[in-house]
Amino acid sequence: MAAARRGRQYFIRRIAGIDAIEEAVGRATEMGKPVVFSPGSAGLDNMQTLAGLAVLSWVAKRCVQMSVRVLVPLRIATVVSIAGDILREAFREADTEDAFEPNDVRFLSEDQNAYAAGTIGMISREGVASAFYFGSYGFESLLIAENGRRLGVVQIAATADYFQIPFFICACDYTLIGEELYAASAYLSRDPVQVGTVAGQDIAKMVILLLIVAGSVAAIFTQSELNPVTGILGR
Amino acid sequence: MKRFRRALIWGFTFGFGAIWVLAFFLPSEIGGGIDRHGAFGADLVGNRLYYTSAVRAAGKPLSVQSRGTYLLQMDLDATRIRQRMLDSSFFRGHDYHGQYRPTVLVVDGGLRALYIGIGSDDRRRICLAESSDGTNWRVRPTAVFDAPVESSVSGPDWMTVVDNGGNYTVIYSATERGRRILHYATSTNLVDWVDRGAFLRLPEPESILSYSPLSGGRAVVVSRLGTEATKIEVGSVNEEQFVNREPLSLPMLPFADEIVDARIIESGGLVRMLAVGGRVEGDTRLRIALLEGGSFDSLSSVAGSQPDGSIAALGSPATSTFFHELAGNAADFVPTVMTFGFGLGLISLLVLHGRRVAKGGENRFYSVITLIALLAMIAVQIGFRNNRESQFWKDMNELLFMNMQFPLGATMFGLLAAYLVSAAYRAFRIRTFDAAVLTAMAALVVLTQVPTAQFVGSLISDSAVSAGARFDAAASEVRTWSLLIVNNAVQTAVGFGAFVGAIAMALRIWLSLDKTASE
Repeated sequence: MAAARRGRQYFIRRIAGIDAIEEAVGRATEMGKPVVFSPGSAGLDNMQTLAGLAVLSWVAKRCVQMSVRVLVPLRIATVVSIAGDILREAFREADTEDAFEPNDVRFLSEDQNAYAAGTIGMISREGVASAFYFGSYGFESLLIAENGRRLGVVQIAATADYFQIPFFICACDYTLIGEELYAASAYLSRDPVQVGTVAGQDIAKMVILLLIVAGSVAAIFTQSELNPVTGILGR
Repeated sequence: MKRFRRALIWGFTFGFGAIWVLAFFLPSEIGGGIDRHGAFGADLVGNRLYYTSAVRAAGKPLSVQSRGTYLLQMDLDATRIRQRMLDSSFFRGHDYHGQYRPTVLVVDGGLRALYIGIGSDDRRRICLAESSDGTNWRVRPTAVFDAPVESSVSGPDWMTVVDNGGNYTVIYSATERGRRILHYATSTNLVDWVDRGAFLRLPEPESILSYSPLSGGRAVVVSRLGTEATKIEVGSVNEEQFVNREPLSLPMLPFADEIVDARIIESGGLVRMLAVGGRVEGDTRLRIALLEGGSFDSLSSVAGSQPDGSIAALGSPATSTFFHELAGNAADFVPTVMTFGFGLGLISLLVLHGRRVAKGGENRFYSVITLIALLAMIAVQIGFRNNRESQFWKDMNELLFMNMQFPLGATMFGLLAAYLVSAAYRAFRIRTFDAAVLTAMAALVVLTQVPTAQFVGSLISDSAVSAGARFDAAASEVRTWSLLIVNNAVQTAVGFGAFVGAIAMALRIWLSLDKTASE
């Protein structure tokens, strides 16, 4: 972060799924239909929800510029006010606050099944062109995404929930896996300091990986039952 | 105004984040005596007391110990000086999470300490340490005895060792139908142990907390029946039963409402008892008393004991760093916010569907149903929770909750099966090399869940069945390898990346670099 503040530029590889967000918004603009953005089915104590909301901010601004409606189905009530604020802010930036429709941010239900049913209904009834699923999900991931696919919606998903990743890969056009979700907002913002945190994250990962390798080697040679040398010599 | 708002949000975000970061990185308390959390699991060799203390003993039930235990040593004539007997080591997995209840034996002029080690896998095993001077201990790199899983899933949580002139018996706790009994194992060198099964059990549902053998085939047993106070009795062990039980009366020990562990040391006509106990309420820290006398009837606290009867005053308490308490208090804020948030969600729901109903349109019908369902569920839940005995409210709750919401939820869940098949069909279309590998592995995993080759073999001939079974066994190995090694490695890699990514994201939010909500 400090290096980025001093002006150092970091490179982030292209992530097709994030690049496709622009295309998905463009598709909705051309079709004159709304987009759905779901920040997952977890609460604000989950980092994935916060990462999803950060992407919502960017998507909402782009959609407002293009006069595309953004529908936000929510499972956790505490997210309602924050998601609403993010959407309102996008309209405010474009000097079109009057056009903000609070009912586009909808609390559906805390029940997973009801949330899935509500989101599916929303996609179906509103004739959605594109859908974004950025956050933490349970089994409802497949219910929502598979229905979206059947309705011909362009879908981009991002989650760090390991067991939901295959579902999204099967049902969505683009899927961001694991850490790509967290990098998405920095990637979209192009803010050098935020990009610097992603680079720092990669460096930290390398350091931890080296520590893991060093620890594994040390464990092998210090625990007699794992030590190949003592094992061979039959100590 | 906007600047002020932004500063306020940044201040709150950073302030609250800082509390949790400090609570995470700083210890919950600083300083204090090495055994400030209590003393238990003791043994005495000559003038030196070997015992256990624990980081998290306070607040736990008296006889339950878990991670964070460690061994200490102190001389009876210098009880102010306590030192660690041995430390956990990153490279010693079998007692990484803790060590407790040492039994110290004099063997060939040196000392051997057997103790329970809590491994990095949270399993308890019996471990061995050796010392020539009784102060500096060297731990064997692996545990010496791992009790059979059938006796206790997580290993013994109590044990003692009996030395019968070079034939050693370790008596350890096991679980049987929810109560604690004793099993035993034998060895001649303290390293190689042979499990011998059950040793002693009390009539159900009595649990044995502690056992200490005496001369003449007798023993002292501390036991507990349900939630009653513990009993300490003398008796004999006969065919796994404790017979001729007689209560043992001990002198008044003000520090203990009950005794949870007792170890008897008999030598030269002198009876010494290390009794461990604590109060049930208030200061529940365990303490050790050393009682001495010519017989059980004449036991009394040794000279130099504390006024409360314990052998030495526990270490001075530590100073709280307040951040844990502060983080706990700040966390109390969350349910309050969530309650308001839920109200906000409810309002959002009512306004949205209320407007739709008022505005009309083809989807009005669904909004009416939603509102009716919402109001009916609220009414029934309020009625049912205030009149649980009322048959009407019971029936209504049953109708809406069990007979409508549950089946509807199950229906949605049931759709998953159909969607899984259709998603799998798309995923397994072999168009690329990657898809071919994926399909082959998926087919292998699915088909080796059941004895497919055996079934196919049975269709051909009887002799083909055994060949099919061999094939199934080999294929099952491949499946296990792919799931445990390949799949686990990928899963760990994704989880690892996500974990580091989450930390970076948290930092961005904490330092307000990501201005999503604050702009």
